[in-house]
Amino acid sequence: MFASSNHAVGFSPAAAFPVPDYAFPAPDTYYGVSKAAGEALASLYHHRYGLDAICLRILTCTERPENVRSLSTWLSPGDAGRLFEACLAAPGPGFRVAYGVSRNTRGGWVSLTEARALGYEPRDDSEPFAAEVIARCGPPDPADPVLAHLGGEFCLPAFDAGRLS
Amino acid sequence: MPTILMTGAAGQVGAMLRSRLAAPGRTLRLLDVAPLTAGPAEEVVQSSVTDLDALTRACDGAEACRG
Repeated sequence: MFASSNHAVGFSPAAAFPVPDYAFPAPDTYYGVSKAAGEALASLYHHRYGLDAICLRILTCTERPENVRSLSTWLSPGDAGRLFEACLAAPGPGFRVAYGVSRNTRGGWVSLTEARALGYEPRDDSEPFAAEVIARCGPPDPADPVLAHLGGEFCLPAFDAGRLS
Repeated sequence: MPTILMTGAAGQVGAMLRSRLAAPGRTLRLLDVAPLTAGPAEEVVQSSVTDLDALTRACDGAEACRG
């Protein structure tokens, strides 16, 4: 299993949600490029050497959702465990690319088809945290550039290479 | 007894998965550049994933890995 990231396809626009399984890389940062490169290596080792390789494009894996975006992208620790456990148990998976996210009421940003095909069934939902998050961060603003792409703030100019220390 | 190698085990996701992937009869082999303390049914390898010899040894006997 390769812990890939939504940032491998971070520049997927909101108009294209849910982002499909196996979407071609659209990295939002060099971090995302590293994840796309890792997926390419996993593909190589599968096709050339027969290794089973599952690339999990994890969304926001934290103890609890901490901002408006993560109400849509949260992967609860419990669901993360269930996702990896499902992948460990999947018989002969071959090469797969799937997303890791909980069953968030405000979700729908990525496909869960391939993850479910691997045996993953999410149980958690960010919604019980929504009131607290919105009270602290403000209500979701459709014009917020953080919500314009899957990768969120990583897509913004603050993450331009020249501004990274 | 199946052994699972977990690279980046001291990281945010690694730390969360460590307890959740514990299972009867399973050994978790935790690899990180940062120091870790092995719990029950855990092994610790302190090294970098860029150290080929160390990573080759860490993979020996592992049935699955998560990186």
